[in-house]
Amino acid sequence: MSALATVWGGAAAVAAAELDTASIGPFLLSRPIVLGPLLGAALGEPGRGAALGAALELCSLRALPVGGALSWNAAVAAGTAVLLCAGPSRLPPEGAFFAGLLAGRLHQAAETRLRASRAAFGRAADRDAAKGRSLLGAYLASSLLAQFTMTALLVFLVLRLAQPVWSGLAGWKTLGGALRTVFMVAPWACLGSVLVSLWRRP
Amino acid sequence: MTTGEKTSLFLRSLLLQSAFGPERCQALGFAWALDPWLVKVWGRDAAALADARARHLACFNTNPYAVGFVLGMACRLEEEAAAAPAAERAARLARATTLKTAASTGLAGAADSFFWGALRQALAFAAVLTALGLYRAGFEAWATAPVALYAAGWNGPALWARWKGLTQGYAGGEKGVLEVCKLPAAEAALKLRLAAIGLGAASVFAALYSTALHENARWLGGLAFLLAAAAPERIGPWGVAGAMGVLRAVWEGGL
Repeated sequence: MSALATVWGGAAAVAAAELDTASIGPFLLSRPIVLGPLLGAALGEPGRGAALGAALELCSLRALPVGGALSWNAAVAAGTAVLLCAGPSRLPPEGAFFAGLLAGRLHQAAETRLRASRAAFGRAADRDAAKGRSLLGAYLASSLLAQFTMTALLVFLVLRLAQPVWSGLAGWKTLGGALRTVFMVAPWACLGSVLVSLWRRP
Repeated sequence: MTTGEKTSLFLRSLLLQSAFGPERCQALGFAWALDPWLVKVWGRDAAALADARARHLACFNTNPYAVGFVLGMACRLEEEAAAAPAAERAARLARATTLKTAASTGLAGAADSFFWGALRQALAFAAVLTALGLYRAGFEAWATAPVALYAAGWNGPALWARWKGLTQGYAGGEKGVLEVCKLPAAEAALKLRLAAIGLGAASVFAALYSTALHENARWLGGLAFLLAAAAPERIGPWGVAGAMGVLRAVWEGGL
Protein backbone atom coordinates (compact mmCIF):
# COMPACT_ATOMS: atom_id res chain seq x y z
CA MET A 1 0.00 0.00 0.00
CA SER A 2 1.36 3.46 -0.88
CA ALA A 3 2.15 5.95 1.89
CA LEU A 4 -0.70 8.23 0.75
CA ALA A 5 -3.20 5.37 0.82
CA THR A 6 -1.99 4.44 4.31
CA VAL A 7 -2.51 8.04 5.43
CA TRP A 8 -6.04 8.18 3.96
CA GLY A 9 -6.86 4.74 5.34
CA GLY A 10 -5.53 5.72 8.75
CA ALA A 11 -7.47 8.99 8.74
CA ALA A 12 -10.66 7.13 7.79
CA ALA A 13 -10.06 4.54 10.54
CA VAL A 14 -9.56 7.27 13.15
CA ALA A 15 -12.67 9.10 11.90
CA ALA A 16 -14.72 5.90 12.15
CA ALA A 17 -13.42 5.24 15.66
CA GLU A 18 -14.09 8.85 16.65
CA LEU A 19 -17.83 8.35 16.06
CA ASP A 20 -17.73 6.18 19.18
CA THR A 21 -16.59 9.17 21.27
CA ALA A 22 -20.17 10.45 21.54
CA SER A 23 -22.19 9.89 18.36
CA ILE A 24 -22.63 6.10 18.40
CA GLY A 25 -22.82 4.18 21.66
CA PRO A 26 -20.54 5.31 23.23
CA PHE A 27 -18.80 1.96 23.76
CA LEU A 28 -15.52 3.67 24.73
CA LEU A 29 -13.60 1.68 22.14
CA SER A 30 -12.24 5.02 20.96
CA ARG A 31 -10.51 5.75 24.28
CA PRO A 32 -6.74 6.13 23.79
CA ILE A 33 -6.02 3.09 25.98
CA VAL A 34 -8.07 0.93 23.57
CA LEU A 35 -7.51 2.68 20.24
CA GLY A 36 -3.74 3.12 20.77
CA PRO A 37 -2.79 -0.58 21.08
CA LEU A 38 -5.29 -1.67 18.40
CA LEU A 39 -4.06 0.87 15.84
CA GLY A 40 -0.45 0.13 16.83
CA ALA A 41 -1.04 -3.60 16.35
CA ALA A 42 -2.58 -2.93 12.92
CA LEU A 43 0.62 -1.08 11.98
CA GLY A 44 2.84 -3.79 13.47
CA GLU A 45 3.82 -1.71 16.54
CA PRO A 46 1.49 -2.62 19.41
CA GLY A 47 4.03 -1.50 22.04
CA ARG A 48 4.33 2.03 20.61
CA GLY A 49 0.56 2.21 20.23
CA ALA A 50 0.05 1.10 23.83
CA ALA A 51 2.62 3.58 25.20
CA LEU A 52 1.13 6.55 23.36
CA GLY A 53 -2.39 5.36 24.12
CA ALA A 54 -1.68 5.05 27.84
CA ALA A 55 0.03 8.48 27.93
CA LEU A 56 -2.91 10.20 26.20
CA GLU A 57 -5.44 8.25 28.27
CA LEU A 58 -3.91 9.56 31.49
CA CYS A 59 -3.71 13.09 30.06
CA SER A 60 -7.39 13.05 29.08
CA LEU A 61 -8.89 11.49 32.22
CA ARG A 62 -9.55 14.84 33.92
CA ALA A 63 -12.07 15.93 31.29
CA LEU A 64 -15.59 14.73 32.07
CA PRO A 65 -17.98 14.59 29.09
CA VAL A 66 -21.02 15.72 31.07
CA GLY A 67 -23.78 18.11 30.01
CA GLY A 68 -22.47 18.35 26.46
CA ALA A 69 -19.04 19.61 27.61
CA LEU A 70 -16.49 19.33 24.84
CA SER A 71 -12.76 19.07 25.57
CA TRP A 72 -9.87 18.16 23.25
CA ASN A 73 -10.73 14.95 21.46
CA ALA A 74 -8.71 12.10 22.98
CA ALA A 75 -9.62 9.60 20.25
CA VAL A 76 -8.40 11.92 17.49
CA ALA A 77 -5.28 12.73 19.51
CA ALA A 78 -4.43 9.06 20.11
CA GLY A 79 -5.26 7.94 16.59
CA THR A 80 -3.19 10.71 15.01
CA ALA A 81 -0.27 10.16 17.39
CA VAL A 82 -0.11 6.40 16.78
CA LEU A 83 -0.41 6.81 13.00
CA LEU A 84 2.43 9.34 13.05
CA CYS A 85 4.66 7.26 15.31
CA ALA A 86 4.03 3.76 13.96
CA GLY A 87 2.98 4.67 10.39
CA PRO A 88 5.05 5.78 7.39
CA SER A 89 6.04 9.16 8.97
CA ARG A 90 7.96 7.46 11.82
CA LEU A 91 7.84 10.57 13.96
CA PRO A 92 9.55 10.23 17.36
CA PRO A 93 7.02 9.57 20.17
CA GLU A 94 7.26 13.11 21.57
CA GLY A 95 6.59 14.64 18.14
CA ALA A 96 3.66 12.30 17.57
CA PHE A 97 2.31 13.06 21.06
CA PHE A 98 2.23 16.83 20.50
CA ALA A 99 0.88 16.52 16.96
CA GLY A 100 -1.87 14.29 18.38
CA LEU A 101 -2.70 16.85 21.06
CA LEU A 102 -2.89 19.56 18.39
CA ALA A 103 -5.22 17.41 16.28
CA GLY A 104 -7.40 16.81 19.35
CA ARG A 105 -7.62 20.57 20.02
CA LEU A 106 -8.41 21.41 16.39
CA HIS A 107 -11.11 18.76 16.41
CA GLN A 108 -12.65 20.32 19.52
CA ALA A 109 -12.90 23.70 17.75
CA ALA A 110 -14.32 22.15 14.57
CA GLU A 111 -16.84 20.02 16.46
CA THR A 112 -18.10 23.02 18.41
CA ARG A 113 -19.05 24.64 15.10
CA LEU A 114 -20.47 21.42 13.70
CA ARG A 115 -22.70 20.96 16.75
CA ALA A 116 -23.96 24.54 16.49
CA SER A 117 -24.86 23.97 12.84
CA ARG A 118 -27.18 21.09 13.84
CA ALA A 119 -29.74 23.60 15.11
CA ALA A 120 -30.99 23.64 11.50
CA PHE A 121 -31.94 19.95 11.79
CA GLY A 122 -34.02 20.74 14.88
CA ARG A 123 -35.95 23.46 13.05
CA ALA A 124 -36.45 21.18 10.04
CA ALA A 125 -37.69 18.38 12.34
CA ASP A 126 -40.25 20.79 13.85
CA ARG A 127 -41.55 21.62 10.37
CA ASP A 128 -41.65 17.91 9.44
CA ALA A 129 -43.61 17.04 12.59
CA ALA A 130 -46.18 19.74 11.76
CA LYS A 131 -46.54 18.24 8.27
CA GLY A 132 -47.03 14.77 9.75
CA ARG A 133 -43.78 13.22 8.61
CA SER A 134 -40.46 12.30 10.20
CA LEU A 135 -37.09 12.57 8.50
CA LEU A 136 -35.11 12.20 11.71
CA GLY A 137 -33.22 9.16 10.39
CA ALA A 138 -31.93 11.25 7.48
CA TYR A 139 -30.84 14.06 9.84
CA LEU A 140 -29.01 11.63 12.09
CA ALA A 141 -27.29 10.01 9.10
CA SER A 142 -26.27 13.45 7.76
CA SER A 143 -24.84 14.40 11.15
CA LEU A 144 -22.81 11.20 11.31
CA LEU A 145 -21.52 11.67 7.76
CA ALA A 146 -20.52 15.29 8.45
CA GLN A 147 -18.77 14.28 11.67
CA PHE A 148 -16.89 11.45 9.90
CA THR A 149 -15.85 13.67 6.98
CA MET A 150 -14.71 16.52 9.21
CA THR A 151 -12.61 14.20 11.39
CA ALA A 152 -11.07 12.33 8.45
CA LEU A 153 -10.05 15.58 6.71
CA LEU A 154 -8.61 17.05 9.88
CA VAL A 155 -6.59 13.93 10.73
CA PHE A 156 -5.39 13.67 7.12
CA LEU A 157 -4.16 17.29 7.19
CA VAL A 158 -2.31 16.84 10.48
CA LEU A 159 -0.76 13.57 9.24
CA ARG A 160 0.48 15.30 6.07
CA LEU A 161 1.81 18.42 7.79
CA ALA A 162 3.32 16.94 10.96
CA GLN A 163 6.40 15.40 9.34
CA PRO A 164 7.70 18.59 7.58
CA VAL A 165 6.88 20.75 10.63
CA TRP A 166 8.70 18.36 12.96
CA SER A 167 11.70 18.21 10.60
CA GLY A 168 11.83 22.02 10.70
CA LEU A 169 11.83 22.02 14.48
CA ALA A 170 14.42 19.24 14.76
CA GLY A 171 17.31 21.71 14.41
CA TRP A 172 16.21 23.50 17.55
CA LYS A 173 17.80 21.14 20.06
CA THR A 174 16.80 22.82 23.32
CA LEU A 175 13.17 22.86 22.17
CA GLY A 176 13.41 19.16 21.37
CA GLY A 177 14.76 18.46 24.86
CA ALA A 178 12.01 20.51 26.48
CA LEU A 179 9.29 18.77 24.47
CA ARG A 180 10.75 15.35 25.33
CA THR A 181 10.63 16.28 29.01
CA VAL A 182 7.03 17.48 28.83
CA PHE A 183 6.06 14.30 26.95
CA MET A 184 7.83 12.20 29.60
CA VAL A 185 6.28 13.87 32.65
CA ALA A 186 2.81 15.05 31.47
CA PRO A 187 1.07 11.65 31.92
CA TRP A 188 2.49 11.38 35.45
CA ALA A 189 1.45 14.91 36.32
CA CYS A 190 -2.05 14.27 34.94
CA LEU A 191 -2.26 11.04 36.93
CA GLY A 192 -1.36 12.93 40.12
CA SER A 193 -3.96 15.57 39.38
CA VAL A 194 -6.68 12.98 38.60
CA LEU A 195 -6.03 11.07 41.83
CA VAL A 196 -6.28 14.26 43.88
CA SER A 197 -9.53 15.26 42.15
CA LEU A 198 -10.97 11.77 42.77
CA TRP A 199 -10.05 12.08 46.43
CA ARG A 200 -11.42 15.61 46.90
CA ARG A 201 -14.70 15.19 45.00
CA PRO A 202 -17.67 15.32 47.40
CA MET B 1 -44.06 -4.10 24.49
CA THR B 2 -42.74 -7.04 22.45
CA THR B 3 -39.10 -8.16 22.57
CA GLY B 4 -38.70 -6.93 18.99
CA GLU B 5 -39.96 -3.45 19.90
CA LYS B 6 -37.73 -3.37 22.94
CA THR B 7 -34.71 -4.43 20.88
CA SER B 8 -35.49 -1.76 18.29
CA LEU B 9 -35.73 0.92 21.00
CA PHE B 10 -32.46 -0.28 22.53
CA LEU B 11 -30.59 -0.28 19.22
CA ARG B 12 -31.99 3.10 18.17
CA SER B 13 -31.01 4.56 21.55
CA LEU B 14 -27.36 3.88 20.64
CA LEU B 15 -27.61 6.84 18.23
CA LEU B 16 -28.97 9.13 20.94
CA GLN B 17 -26.15 11.65 20.56
CA SER B 18 -25.48 11.42 16.83
CA ALA B 19 -27.12 14.81 16.16
CA PHE B 20 -26.14 16.40 19.47
CA GLY B 21 -26.30 20.19 19.44
CA PRO B 22 -26.23 22.97 22.02
CA GLU B 23 -29.85 23.96 21.30
CA ARG B 24 -31.69 20.64 21.74
CA CYS B 25 -28.88 18.40 23.04
CA GLN B 26 -29.98 14.75 22.53
CA ALA B 27 -33.58 15.51 21.51
CA LEU B 28 -33.29 14.45 17.86
CA GLY B 29 -31.72 11.11 18.78
CA PHE B 30 -34.30 10.53 21.52
CA ALA B 31 -37.19 11.39 19.20
CA TRP B 32 -35.82 9.06 16.51
CA ALA B 33 -35.49 6.19 18.99
CA LEU B 34 -39.07 6.73 20.17
CA ASP B 35 -40.67 7.37 16.77
CA PRO B 36 -41.80 3.79 15.93
CA TRP B 37 -43.47 3.60 19.35
CA LEU B 38 -45.22 6.94 18.84
CA VAL B 39 -46.49 5.73 15.47
CA LYS B 40 -47.76 2.57 17.18
CA VAL B 41 -49.69 4.34 19.96
CA TRP B 42 -50.83 7.51 18.15
CA GLY B 43 -50.81 6.27 14.53
CA ARG B 44 -54.58 6.33 14.10
CA ASP B 45 -54.78 10.06 14.92
CA ALA B 46 -52.55 12.14 12.64
CA ALA B 47 -52.87 15.34 14.70
CA ALA B 48 -52.04 13.52 17.95
CA LEU B 49 -49.03 11.86 16.31
CA ALA B 50 -47.76 15.25 15.10
CA ASP B 51 -48.17 16.65 18.64
CA ALA B 52 -46.35 13.65 20.14
CA ARG B 53 -43.44 14.04 17.72
CA ALA B 54 -43.22 17.77 18.47
CA ARG B 55 -43.25 17.11 22.26
CA HIS B 56 -40.18 14.92 22.03
CA LEU B 57 -38.26 17.39 19.87
CA ALA B 58 -37.89 19.75 22.83
CA CYS B 59 -34.43 20.00 24.44
CA PHE B 60 -33.48 16.74 26.18
CA ASN B 61 -30.25 15.75 27.90
CA THR B 62 -29.22 12.88 30.12
CA ASN B 63 -26.35 10.46 30.58
CA PRO B 64 -26.37 8.12 27.54
CA TYR B 65 -26.36 5.05 29.82
CA ALA B 66 -29.43 6.30 31.69
CA VAL B 67 -31.50 6.87 28.56
CA GLY B 68 -32.94 3.34 28.60
CA PHE B 69 -35.01 4.09 31.67
CA VAL B 70 -36.29 7.43 30.32
CA LEU B 71 -37.21 5.83 26.99
CA GLY B 72 -39.04 2.96 28.69
CA MET B 73 -40.92 5.35 30.94
CA ALA B 74 -41.81 7.64 28.03
CA CYS B 75 -43.20 4.63 26.12
CA ARG B 76 -45.41 3.65 29.05
CA LEU B 77 -46.64 7.21 29.68
CA GLU B 78 -47.42 7.82 25.99
CA GLU B 79 -49.26 4.51 25.83
CA GLU B 80 -51.32 5.35 28.94
CA ALA B 81 -52.11 8.83 27.65
CA ALA B 82 -53.28 7.44 24.31
CA ALA B 83 -55.54 4.95 26.10
CA ALA B 84 -56.94 7.56 28.53
CA PRO B 85 -60.26 9.37 27.94
CA ALA B 86 -59.83 12.52 25.78
CA ALA B 87 -60.66 14.80 28.74
CA GLU B 88 -57.74 13.49 30.80
CA ARG B 89 -55.22 13.37 27.99
CA ALA B 90 -53.78 16.91 28.17
CA ALA B 91 -53.11 16.66 31.91
CA ARG B 92 -51.50 13.23 31.51
CA LEU B 93 -49.25 14.45 28.71
CA ALA B 94 -48.19 17.52 30.69
CA ARG B 95 -47.33 15.25 33.61
CA ALA B 96 -45.42 12.89 31.29
CA THR B 97 -43.29 15.78 30.05
CA THR B 98 -42.51 16.87 33.63
CA LEU B 99 -41.62 13.31 34.64
CA LYS B 100 -39.40 12.87 31.59
CA THR B 101 -37.43 16.00 32.47
CA ALA B 102 -37.18 15.04 36.15
CA ALA B 103 -36.05 11.47 35.41
CA SER B 104 -33.49 12.54 32.82
CA THR B 105 -31.95 15.14 35.13
CA GLY B 106 -31.95 12.97 38.24
CA LEU B 107 -30.57 9.90 36.52
CA ALA B 108 -27.94 11.93 34.68
CA GLY B 109 -26.36 13.03 37.98
CA ALA B 110 -26.14 9.48 39.34
CA ALA B 111 -24.98 7.91 36.07
CA ASP B 112 -22.43 10.67 35.40
CA SER B 113 -20.77 10.19 38.76
CA PHE B 114 -20.75 6.38 38.37
CA PHE B 115 -19.71 6.02 34.71
CA TRP B 116 -17.75 9.18 33.89
CA GLY B 117 -16.55 10.04 37.39
CA ALA B 118 -15.42 6.63 38.67
CA LEU B 119 -15.68 3.62 36.32
CA ARG B 120 -13.74 5.23 33.48
CA GLN B 121 -10.82 6.12 35.76
CA ALA B 122 -10.85 2.73 37.54
CA LEU B 123 -10.73 0.86 34.23
CA ALA B 124 -8.00 3.08 32.79
CA PHE B 125 -5.79 2.49 35.85
CA ALA B 126 -6.59 -1.24 35.83
CA ALA B 127 -5.60 -1.43 32.15
CA VAL B 128 -2.31 0.41 32.76
CA LEU B 129 -1.57 -1.82 35.75
CA THR B 130 -2.34 -4.97 33.76
CA ALA B 131 -0.14 -3.87 30.85
CA LEU B 132 2.79 -3.14 33.19
CA GLY B 133 2.30 -6.47 34.98
CA LEU B 134 2.14 -8.46 31.74
CA TYR B 135 5.22 -6.65 30.40
CA ARG B 136 7.16 -7.53 33.54
CA ALA B 137 6.02 -11.15 33.30
CA GLY B 138 7.31 -11.26 29.72
CA PHE B 139 3.85 -11.88 28.23
CA GLU B 140 4.04 -11.07 24.52
CA ALA B 141 0.56 -9.62 24.19
CA TRP B 142 1.11 -7.15 27.08
CA ALA B 143 0.11 -4.19 24.90
CA THR B 144 -3.20 -5.47 23.53
CA ALA B 145 -4.42 -7.75 26.34
CA PRO B 146 -5.75 -4.90 28.55
CA VAL B 147 -8.00 -3.75 25.68
CA ALA B 148 -10.38 -6.66 26.35
CA LEU B 149 -10.39 -5.87 30.07
CA TYR B 150 -11.29 -2.23 29.42
CA ALA B 151 -13.92 -2.95 26.75
CA ALA B 152 -15.66 -5.65 28.81
CA GLY B 153 -15.36 -3.70 32.06
CA TRP B 154 -17.09 -0.71 30.50
CA ASN B 155 -19.63 -2.24 28.16
CA GLY B 156 -20.85 -4.89 30.59
CA PRO B 157 -22.39 -2.40 33.05
CA ALA B 158 -23.13 0.24 30.38
CA LEU B 159 -25.18 -2.04 28.12
CA TRP B 160 -26.82 -3.72 31.10
CA ALA B 161 -27.90 -0.30 32.46
CA ARG B 162 -29.44 0.62 29.11
CA TRP B 163 -31.33 -2.66 28.66
CA LYS B 164 -32.40 -3.04 32.28
CA GLY B 165 -33.41 0.63 32.39
CA LEU B 166 -35.62 0.19 29.34
CA THR B 167 -37.33 -2.79 30.97
CA GLN B 168 -37.76 -1.09 34.34
CA GLY B 169 -38.86 2.22 32.87
CA TYR B 170 -41.62 0.57 30.83
CA ALA B 171 -42.69 -1.78 33.62
CA GLY B 172 -42.71 0.90 36.32
CA GLY B 173 -43.89 3.90 34.35
CA GLU B 174 -44.51 6.83 36.69
CA LYS B 175 -43.83 4.74 39.81
CA GLY B 176 -40.57 3.50 38.30
CA VAL B 177 -38.99 6.91 38.95
CA LEU B 178 -39.41 6.39 42.70
CA GLU B 179 -37.90 2.90 42.48
CA VAL B 180 -34.89 4.19 40.59
CA CYS B 181 -34.37 6.97 43.14
CA LYS B 182 -33.97 4.28 45.82
CA LEU B 183 -31.05 2.64 44.01
CA PRO B 184 -27.78 3.09 45.95
CA ALA B 185 -26.08 4.80 42.98
CA ALA B 186 -24.20 7.37 45.08
CA GLU B 187 -22.76 4.67 47.39
CA ALA B 188 -21.73 2.53 44.41
CA ALA B 189 -20.03 5.52 42.76
CA LEU B 190 -18.18 6.33 45.99
CA LYS B 191 -16.92 2.75 46.39
CA LEU B 192 -15.82 2.67 42.78
CA ARG B 193 -14.05 6.00 43.16
CA LEU B 194 -12.10 4.66 46.14
CA ALA B 195 -11.21 1.58 44.10
CA ALA B 196 -10.04 3.89 41.31
CA ILE B 197 -7.80 5.76 43.74
CA GLY B 198 -6.30 2.43 44.93
CA LEU B 199 -5.73 1.26 41.35
CA GLY B 200 -4.22 4.64 40.41
CA ALA B 201 -1.81 4.53 43.34
CA ALA B 202 -0.87 0.93 42.45
CA SER B 203 -0.24 2.06 38.84
CA VAL B 204 2.17 4.73 40.08
CA PHE B 205 4.17 2.20 42.11
CA ALA B 206 4.13 -0.33 39.27
CA ALA B 207 5.38 2.32 36.83
CA LEU B 208 8.09 3.48 39.25
CA TYR B 209 9.49 -0.06 39.41
CA SER B 210 8.76 -1.02 35.81
CA THR B 211 11.53 -1.92 33.40
CA ALA B 212 9.25 -0.73 30.57
CA LEU B 213 10.27 2.87 31.32
CA HIS B 214 13.70 4.47 31.25
CA GLU B 215 15.11 5.23 34.71
CA ASN B 216 15.15 9.01 34.10
CA ALA B 217 11.55 8.90 32.93
CA ARG B 218 10.54 7.08 36.10
CA TRP B 219 12.14 9.48 38.53
CA LEU B 220 11.24 12.65 36.64
CA GLY B 221 7.73 11.25 36.27
CA GLY B 222 7.50 10.45 39.98
CA LEU B 223 8.55 14.02 40.75
CA ALA B 224 5.96 15.41 38.32
CA PHE B 225 3.30 13.20 39.93
CA LEU B 226 4.06 14.61 43.39
CA LEU B 227 4.29 18.22 42.18
CA ALA B 228 1.01 17.99 40.26
CA ALA B 229 -0.75 16.37 43.21
CA ALA B 230 0.39 19.23 45.46
CA ALA B 231 0.00 22.06 42.93
CA PRO B 232 -2.96 24.47 43.15
CA GLU B 233 -5.77 23.93 40.65
CA ARG B 234 -4.86 27.07 38.66
CA ILE B 235 -1.43 25.61 37.81
CA GLY B 236 -2.72 22.17 36.91
CA PRO B 237 -0.77 19.19 35.56
CA TRP B 238 0.09 20.90 32.27
CA GLY B 239 1.54 23.84 34.18
CA VAL B 240 3.79 21.45 36.13
CA ALA B 241 4.83 19.52 33.00
CA GLY B 242 5.45 22.77 31.09
CA ALA B 243 7.57 24.21 33.91
CA MET B 244 9.70 21.06 33.95
CA GLY B 245 10.14 21.36 30.18
CA VAL B 246 11.26 24.99 30.50
CA LEU B 247 13.71 24.03 33.26
CA ARG B 248 15.16 21.35 30.98
CA ALA B 249 15.59 23.94 28.19
CA VAL B 250 17.29 26.39 30.58
CA TRP B 251 19.52 23.58 31.87
CA GLU B 252 20.58 22.78 28.31
CA GLY B 253 21.57 26.36 27.51
CA GLY B 254 18.40 28.39 27.12
CA LEU B 255 15.75 28.70 24.45
